[in-house]
Amino acid sequence: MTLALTMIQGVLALAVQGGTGTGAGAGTTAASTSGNFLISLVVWLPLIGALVILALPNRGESDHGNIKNVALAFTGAPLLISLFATWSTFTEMGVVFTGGYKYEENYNWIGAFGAHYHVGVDGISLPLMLLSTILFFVAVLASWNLKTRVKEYFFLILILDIGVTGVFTAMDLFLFFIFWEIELIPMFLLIILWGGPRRVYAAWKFLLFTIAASALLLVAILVLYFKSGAGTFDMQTLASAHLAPEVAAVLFWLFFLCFAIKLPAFGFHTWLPDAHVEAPTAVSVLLAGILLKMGGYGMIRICVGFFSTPAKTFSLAILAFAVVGILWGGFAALVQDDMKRMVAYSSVSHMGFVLLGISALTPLALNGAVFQLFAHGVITGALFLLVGLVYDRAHTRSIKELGGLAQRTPYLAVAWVLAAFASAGLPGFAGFIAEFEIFLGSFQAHHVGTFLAVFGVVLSAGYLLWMLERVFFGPLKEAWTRLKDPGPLELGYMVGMLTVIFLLGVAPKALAQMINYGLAPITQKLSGG
Amino acid sequence: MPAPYTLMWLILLLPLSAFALMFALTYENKRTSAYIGIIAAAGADIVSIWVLFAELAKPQHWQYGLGIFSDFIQYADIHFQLGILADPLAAMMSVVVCSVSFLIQVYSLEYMRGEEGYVRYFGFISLFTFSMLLLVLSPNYFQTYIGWELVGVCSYLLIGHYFKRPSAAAAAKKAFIVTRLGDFPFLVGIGYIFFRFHGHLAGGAADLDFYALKPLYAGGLVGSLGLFLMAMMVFSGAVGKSAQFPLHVWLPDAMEGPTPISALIHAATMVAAGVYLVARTYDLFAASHQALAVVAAIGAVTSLMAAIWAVAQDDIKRIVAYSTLSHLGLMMFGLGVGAYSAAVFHLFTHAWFKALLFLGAGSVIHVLHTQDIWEMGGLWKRMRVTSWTMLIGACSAAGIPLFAGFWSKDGIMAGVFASQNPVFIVVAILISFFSALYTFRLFFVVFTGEPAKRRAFDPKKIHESSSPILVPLVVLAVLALLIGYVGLPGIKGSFTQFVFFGRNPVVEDVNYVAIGASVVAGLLGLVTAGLFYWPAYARFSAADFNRRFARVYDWSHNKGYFDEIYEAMFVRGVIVNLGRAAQWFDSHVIDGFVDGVADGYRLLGDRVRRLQSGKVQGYAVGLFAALVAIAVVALIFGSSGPLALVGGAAR
Amino acid sequence: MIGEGGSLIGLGHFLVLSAGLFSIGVYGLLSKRNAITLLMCVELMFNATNIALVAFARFGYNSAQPLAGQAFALFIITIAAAEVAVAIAILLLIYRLRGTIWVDEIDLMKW
Repeated sequence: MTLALTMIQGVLALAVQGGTGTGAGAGTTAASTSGNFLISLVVWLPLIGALVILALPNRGESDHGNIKNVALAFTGAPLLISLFATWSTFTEMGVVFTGGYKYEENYNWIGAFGAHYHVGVDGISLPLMLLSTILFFVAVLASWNLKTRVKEYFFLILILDIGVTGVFTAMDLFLFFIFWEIELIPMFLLIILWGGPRRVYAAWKFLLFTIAASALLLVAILVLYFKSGAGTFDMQTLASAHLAPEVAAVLFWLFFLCFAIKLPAFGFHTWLPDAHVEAPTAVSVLLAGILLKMGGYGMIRICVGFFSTPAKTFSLAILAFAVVGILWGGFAALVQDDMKRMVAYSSVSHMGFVLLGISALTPLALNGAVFQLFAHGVITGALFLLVGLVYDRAHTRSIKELGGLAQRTPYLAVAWVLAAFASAGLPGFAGFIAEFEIFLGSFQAHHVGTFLAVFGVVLSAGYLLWMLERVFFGPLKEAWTRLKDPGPLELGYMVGMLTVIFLLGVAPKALAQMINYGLAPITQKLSGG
Repeated sequence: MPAPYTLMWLILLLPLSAFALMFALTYENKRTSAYIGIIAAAGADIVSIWVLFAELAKPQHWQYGLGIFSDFIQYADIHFQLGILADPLAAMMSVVVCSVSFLIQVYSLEYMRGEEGYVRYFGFISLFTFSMLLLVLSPNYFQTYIGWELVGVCSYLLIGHYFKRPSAAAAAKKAFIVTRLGDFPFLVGIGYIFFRFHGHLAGGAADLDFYALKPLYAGGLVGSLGLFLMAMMVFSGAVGKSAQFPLHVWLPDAMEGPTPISALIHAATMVAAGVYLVARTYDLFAASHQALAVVAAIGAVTSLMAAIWAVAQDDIKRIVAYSTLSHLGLMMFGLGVGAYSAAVFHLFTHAWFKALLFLGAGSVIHVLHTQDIWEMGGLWKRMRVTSWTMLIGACSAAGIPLFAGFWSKDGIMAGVFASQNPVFIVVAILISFFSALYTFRLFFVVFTGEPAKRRAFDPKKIHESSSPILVPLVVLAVLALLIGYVGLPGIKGSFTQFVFFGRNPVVEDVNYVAIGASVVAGLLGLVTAGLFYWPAYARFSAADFNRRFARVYDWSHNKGYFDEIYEAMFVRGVIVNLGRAAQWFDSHVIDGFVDGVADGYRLLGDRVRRLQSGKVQGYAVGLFAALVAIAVVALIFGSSGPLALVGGAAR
Repeated sequence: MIGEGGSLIGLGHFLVLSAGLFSIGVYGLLSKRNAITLLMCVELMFNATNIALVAFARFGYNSAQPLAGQAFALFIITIAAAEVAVAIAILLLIYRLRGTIWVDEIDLMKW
């Protein structure tokens, strides 16, 4: 741990140096700002960590400790950097930061077809970058007791980190695609190597779905590249490219299907429960917490941001996906016996809310959708961590077998109740703000659809509280009389996660404003065209 | 802004910080924690009363944002606010909430002694109080919804206080989910209101502001159907929280919580929230006659049904619970027929006598350790204070003249009679009859006569409860006796001229017909109860009656079989099966397709891989065969033939 | 057939020789089971190619690349030598492990 701390200190000193020279370039596009490598640090520090881990010996307990420390340091440093970036954006909001991108870096990369190494963050991607750095840090902590193939595991986690943060910060579509693909293989390996009994099936299913998504994405990007005729992959340029209406419609659907698989929207969601059930705890946290958000992010950034006219035309179709997904996930979650499967289906339902917000296309609903991306990331992350804590102790996730745990593990029960409240969208927690914004915003566009969708909140209360009742309340079952409450490490990261959820729930203004700045170009385009 | 109004944030802050303090610092120290809660409630109560007196002196409307939460969410043209609202209705209600909370916490000092989770209990009461006050003092739908949901959360936590008991855990869940069923249309309704009126609000007002919306409902922006739907969606929230038909099923089960919690839920928080909401948004309802009619009908049905069921219950707490249901229905009934002031007044008086009844029942339960009224009996001589206070509570609840309940109920009766709807009038009279019947049935069975044979206690050991329990009882009894006089009809400065709807204070004519009918029905109920259940005067046997009319009795005893019907129809029939169907579809249809694709490729691979025989010469044959084939093609077609497609032979 | 410079032996002869040798090599490669024989057949095919290359270099003279054919041939000879060294080493090991160098008995690399 101390090793990790000193490393973090060193890296932070470096990052702040890089960060102090920024600010002036905010808002301007295509500016090749030098001396500003904040985002690159967040994205590529994990690579350095991964290489260091590769070089470290891996023979015994102490070596494992070193590897974990390195992983912690190289996920902790990006976390601190993105906290710094978020903080400085908060403080500058309305004064210096009035929308647009911050911390841009733009270098020529592959001149032959105009690909740039172009990264930066705006009000949409900054929260998501922060989210992913938080969750990777927590995921490393949650894997602290790992004993098998430690080196490979943390190596893959760090590689995954690159892909995810890269997707959120890329401003060049080619770069976006590269990062999108980078994330795939580590995830596959993490499931298939450290997973549960049906891990092979789950991992291949995950791969099959996501590869299909990638294929669609590649086709879509290429078609967009050639049809736009801009000769560039720059996302801001492409966003305002003039396309024939039918081309735009086809592209919209290509991108939409790709992101719908990742989200996952109804019809493409069956990889999710399987992958979650088999994946180890930390991987589930990452999968639900961030990887799904890539789908939502892509939809808002590309489907809505690039193709506002088709997005309006097909609004009802998206609504149908959203409503069916919300109710479907909710009903399916009700009858699950495996806690993890239940949480996975709840994710399907909650990501349906994101889709609902996207289908509405009103500023309020879109804001709620992005808010929900963040909120759901932390909340579901917390839920999966909690499932993991139960499983670590009881070695089962079957709701039927568990019972009365609150008497033996009060802290765990309290954390569970709070996380369940948060997931059910109760005020005081982040999820409420998101859902409230989404529902109010989407009612402006779809009346009946919203009405049906809001029934999802009853379902979510239903499956969560029913699960709580059966797992934690009632008489303690004989088998669980020796369970132990979580230790300081577990409690530490749980408290951290719950604090984030709570803070966003009682003080959502800053984040909502930041998202609003990020969405401003999109909403302007929507209202203009 | 004058003095008490500037301090109103204290009303919210005190209970909230008590909650935080208990959980953060004094969780191990039971007494200190309890006193923190009591002091916080007392402090909030003092400020509330101060505000109430300021309002009484000069009714006025103030509202302001709540410090850093004033711009809770604000960007572009969106502005959701947390704030404080002061007007007669809010001032009246916040006094009720704070006072009842204070008395109940004093009572709980003794009642919960030695119970597990003592501090947790007090902490949640403080949170509950805070949530309810957040709702009461809310200037807009946004904050109301937050308070609304938090109240639900707190009721979940407190009903499930004895979480080791499966029935308590189940009841807590049921309460939460059933009320949520009402909440979801409410949320959509807020969306509807936002959708229609956002952008039409007077300058500077936050979104969803009650007072800014007041003139807009009837302002022609929304058609009559829209208004009706809007009102129904808001009302649906009230139906859930106030346990109106058809979402009443959670309330009796909620008796699983500790008795003081039942008192809190029934008197001042949770269920009062529904009625308060309708009163708060009455402009919306007043704009749609159909909506008011539905409110009245739902209220009437709930009130009558609950009153009938209460007669056939054996659990002392359940009887009081059904009495709450009936009174809440009556309030809705009153609101529906336009007796706004009277209904709100009934909400006010009901808080005191219902808290009294529950705490009295709690006193009995605390001593006897049973809730079955047939295991009680003969407590009059042994528990004097409890008996007297319960008698006052019963008289007040039954609407016996001169007690608090009478004055408010009489106003509602007048409103019902004024509606000139014969069905409503008959129902109202029946409600009066039955509420006197079940209230006094309870009183006679528990307190009069001799201790029951199948008693759970030794009559000699029965003693009166100790003072922390009795003091709140006496205070509430005094209130239940006297508070009604603030609402004497036809008098200047009475309640109806303080809390009223519309521009001008209402000076109601005293409707002697209505009062007479209601009083006669009530006395008839009392006498009937006496003839059946007061051993000294009993002329009929209740057991015989129940046997002869077994079907009616069973229906009533089983609460109209609503639980069973809901369970069979919705929970088992629809919800679970839908879940199973979704699961089946996922694992068979969608996964069937996905797995089918995967299996198809696997099958193909299985065939194709046979080509890989491992025999080197086999590969060589293929190699040379291909070579020959290419040569032949080249010879026949020349270099521009099919080979040009492959590219190699083109040059 | 008269070749260049009036010589009796022209390009055609070399190509026929080359084709014949190649065919013998192919026949052997496809029909023999002994891996050493196969190697020798492969050598035959290499040499057939070499003959053709050198002949092309001699008769189809291209002043821009005067030694192209010979260079190819030398390359092939070098590669063939290296290839034989590796192949025989592998075969030796296979013989030690499996006791046979008959290729139809060595079919480990299959589905």
